[in-house]
Amino acid sequence: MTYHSQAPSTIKHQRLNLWRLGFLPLLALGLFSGFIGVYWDIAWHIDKGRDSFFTPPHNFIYSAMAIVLLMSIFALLRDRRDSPYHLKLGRLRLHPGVLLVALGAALELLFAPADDFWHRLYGPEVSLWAPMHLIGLLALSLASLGAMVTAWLEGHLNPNKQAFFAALSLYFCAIFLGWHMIFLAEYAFGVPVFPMWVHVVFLSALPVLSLWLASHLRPFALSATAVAVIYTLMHLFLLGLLSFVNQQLDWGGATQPLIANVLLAAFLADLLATRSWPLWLKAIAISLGSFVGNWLLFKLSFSLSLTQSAINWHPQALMLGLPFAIVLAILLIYLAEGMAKGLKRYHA
Amino acid sequence: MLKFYGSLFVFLIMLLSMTIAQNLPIRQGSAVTLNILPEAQGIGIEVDEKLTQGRELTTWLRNLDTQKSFRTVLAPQDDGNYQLNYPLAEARYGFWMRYGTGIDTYSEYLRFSVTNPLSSTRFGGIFQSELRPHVPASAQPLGYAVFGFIMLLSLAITALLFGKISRVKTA
Repeated sequence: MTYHSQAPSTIKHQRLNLWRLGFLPLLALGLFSGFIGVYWDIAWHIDKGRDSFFTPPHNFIYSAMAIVLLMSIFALLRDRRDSPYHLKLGRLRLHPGVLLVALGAALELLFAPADDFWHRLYGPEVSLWAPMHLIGLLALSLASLGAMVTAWLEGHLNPNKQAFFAALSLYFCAIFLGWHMIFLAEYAFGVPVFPMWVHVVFLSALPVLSLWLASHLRPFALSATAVAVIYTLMHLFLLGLLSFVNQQLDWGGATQPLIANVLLAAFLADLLATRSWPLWLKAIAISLGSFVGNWLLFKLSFSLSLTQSAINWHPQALMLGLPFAIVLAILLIYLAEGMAKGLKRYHA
Repeated sequence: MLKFYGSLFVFLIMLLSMTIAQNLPIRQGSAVTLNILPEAQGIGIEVDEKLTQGRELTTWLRNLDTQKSFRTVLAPQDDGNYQLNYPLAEARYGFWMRYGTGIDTYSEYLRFSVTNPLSSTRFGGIFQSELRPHVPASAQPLGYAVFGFIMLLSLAITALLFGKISRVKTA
């Protein structure tokens, strides 16, 4: 594997880093727990309904986010390195990545009571895309993006551990992918509330963001593929956990989500990262890779009876969904390119 | 960069608007009739197309004897007719259906038995709204407006922080 990154010479080498401080290990665990908790929560709602706010999956998600928020605040206060990346605020030196994590975790915890209030007012919510849920998912996506940025910058603040932090940033990139794919959980569980063409749009286009980010940052060869593999393993762990809580504890989990197949799209992203194709063409190729990969997985899962639900991408859904998917994929690849260039600017 | 974020935001709002536009309150659930297809090879579903407006129907069929279930989304074949192709074994079944989007959804749950020979092939019901009756139609669009504002704010903060990081070399 090739390691491409170089450290800026202006940074003072200091012993403190956010892994040693305990922030990054807890963040890795907390964001993964949140990811597991949200799917478990949806399975709970389908299998058991919404009985109270303090259900086991809710407790799991909000405890994880509370720990992430507390650790973020601790890291913001404790980290006093005077690097060019840190934002100066009085005596504080705020790490931009940690700041994003803290904002995301705070937003999530702030909207937990708002979500409960919404439910009390309007009744049991039948949609994951209810406004309060969307705010929660946005918050968690923000936190996982912040985690990825934190790990990436730590690699440059600690040149002797660049490979380790680059690998960690790919793990957080997989979490970021996981968080924005949760927007499609209702389709994955086979109980959608919005039309099927929207599923075609998002399942084809959304992976482009994190996969292109990984393949463009490219700390190692096949970075996007590594992200897709970690994401798939996370999902397999989730399925095992849901089976366990269902069979051993009767805590929901009988209804299980379909795994999204982003492996083909990820491999295409890695393949195209070094090609001189126009960016928009790469976006189309990766989104079509995601579309084809998932379509094949749906067919295979259903024919092998691995799933209780059948995704029905009927012709009208495809006709409306695919053009929108291509437009969204092109916008997202430019966004990913901009973010990656921002993180790699000093290599120019 | 600002132009880019603007176009991304407009695009996402456009997608949301299209889904919300399909979410205008109907406030009246359609009648529904199930027809067990010949040789119990599936279920034909008839609804009032004026009320369902050609929307997809989410269905969840559960074999109450074996607890095995099957979920899928059906697109209308013609005026208010849907067809679920799924071979039905001799058993008692629960069949849950839903149409509508967002918080304006309608659902119905019917139970029937498949016997050999079939004692009955038609079953009827009426979709009920899943929304509490006092909820104003503006609730969801207002909620989405709040979400849109927070999303824009988050994008702006993220862009500022990325801007700060990208300026490091020239600092």
